[in-house]
Amino acid sequence: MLRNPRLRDVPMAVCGSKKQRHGIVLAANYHAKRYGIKTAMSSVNALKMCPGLYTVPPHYDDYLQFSGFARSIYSQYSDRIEAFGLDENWLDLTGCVTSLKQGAAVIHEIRERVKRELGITVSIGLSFNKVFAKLGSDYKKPDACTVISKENFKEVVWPLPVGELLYVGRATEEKLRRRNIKTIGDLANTNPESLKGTFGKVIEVLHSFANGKDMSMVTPTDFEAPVKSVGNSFTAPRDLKTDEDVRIMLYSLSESVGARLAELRKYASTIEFSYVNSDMTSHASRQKKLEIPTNISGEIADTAFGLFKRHYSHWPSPLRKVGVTGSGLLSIKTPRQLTVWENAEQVNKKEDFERTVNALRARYGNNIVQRAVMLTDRQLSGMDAKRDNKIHPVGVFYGGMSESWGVYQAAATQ
Amino acid sequence: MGSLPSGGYAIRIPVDMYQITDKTGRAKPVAFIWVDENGAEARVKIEKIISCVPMAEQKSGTVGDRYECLIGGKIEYIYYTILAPRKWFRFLDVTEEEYNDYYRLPE
Repeated sequence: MLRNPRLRDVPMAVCGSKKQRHGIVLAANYHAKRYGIKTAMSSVNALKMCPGLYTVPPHYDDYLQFSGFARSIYSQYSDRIEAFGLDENWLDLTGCVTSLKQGAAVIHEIRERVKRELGITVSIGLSFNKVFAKLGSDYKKPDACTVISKENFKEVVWPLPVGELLYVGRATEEKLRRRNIKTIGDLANTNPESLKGTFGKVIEVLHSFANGKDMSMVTPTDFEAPVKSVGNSFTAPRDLKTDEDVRIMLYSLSESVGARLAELRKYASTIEFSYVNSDMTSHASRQKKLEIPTNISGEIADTAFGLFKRHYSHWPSPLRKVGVTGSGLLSIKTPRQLTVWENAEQVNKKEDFERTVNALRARYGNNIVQRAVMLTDRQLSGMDAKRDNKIHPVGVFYGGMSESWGVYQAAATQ
Repeated sequence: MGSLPSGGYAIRIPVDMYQITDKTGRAKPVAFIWVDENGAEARVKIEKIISCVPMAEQKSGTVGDRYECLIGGKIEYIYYTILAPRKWFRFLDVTEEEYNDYYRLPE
């Protein structure tokens, strides 16, 4: 809408590329939402629901910039800002305001400033904990503020569907509904001990969320979460039907994972292979612990391919998406116990080779050095997994728990 | 949201701007090259900068620093957009038809 302001006044959706099978709705304006168009819906279905829909490609670099601009406005109100994805942030206003009334004035000011200076609307929730602040930001949209206090949370939060609570996904919501727990209030008033058998220990956390007892901190702006795993997954431009197809994809993904591990100066001691089948009815992942931790793409790819062969060689259906993740990270300075089949010189040579290839690719692009097998299918090997790697929102719990912080928490959603 | 002095339809035209960047990094526009409808170029001096505020202008989809300037004895808004690569824009008053023709909807 920056490039073409007329798109504000018509139903419009940002859609991924249909050719690369990323043809889903990434975002829709409110004119389009009135037709029932939702994020993650396929663009084909979206056009059926709204034949007059205008679709535009995503401009990820612009979104990153605007995310930064919004954060620079937030940073004028608090130094404790935690990003939750590209377009959501928590702000800790404790110490900046002395009452919820003052906090409400601040969030209204932030909302107005973002609209005036950036031309985008935000919805902001203010509460005494992060979970309720997030609920508040989703409560009224667009361009609105909601305050959830200790006095009113039972009226505002408890009637909401249980699926609206943070970390209650579709599967958990369905299981809770089967036990007649339909609202957040129902969950808050159910003894968690009676649900532990089905849900495990996490139900205690969800129960405390529902009762407003979340005590997680908003992490400071300069806090860097420790990296626990490095992964890449990709939706293939066409269905994968043969072992060779999967091998090519895994090499592409492993090259990215290996390069990123090397940049972090880490080895992975566990490799995970994940997949989604072509009609998205089945998805799973399998892991293997390595004898010798590694960041060499060939070793990562071979392990991932071995997991695939062990668990999917019968090919019940074509695959749509595959992923590779390295976890159990160790610093490259950590001594590693080699096997009798390898010596230190061989290992060092392999790592030097990998380092050289990564440096060439970083400078001249992925195509400068490639495995011969990648040349057999340009459609599959043509993606740049490293450049396009996914960014997951950091978990709610990263900042730790606090009794004294987090008295006034705001959550802003762009 | 900001609005243009004319209140009507306007399109934004990118211009080559002569600017002074001060010690704090703040840009101060001094003069720009303007091409009229006959294709003739002229150097237009900015007589005075009255104010500079961050502002989004909905009708043209412009987001950046809005400079309220005195140009040829009249008040005009010049924008320095915040999205990289940063550009300077001047606004041209147009009819609704010209506006719709300039900002065409995708096919």
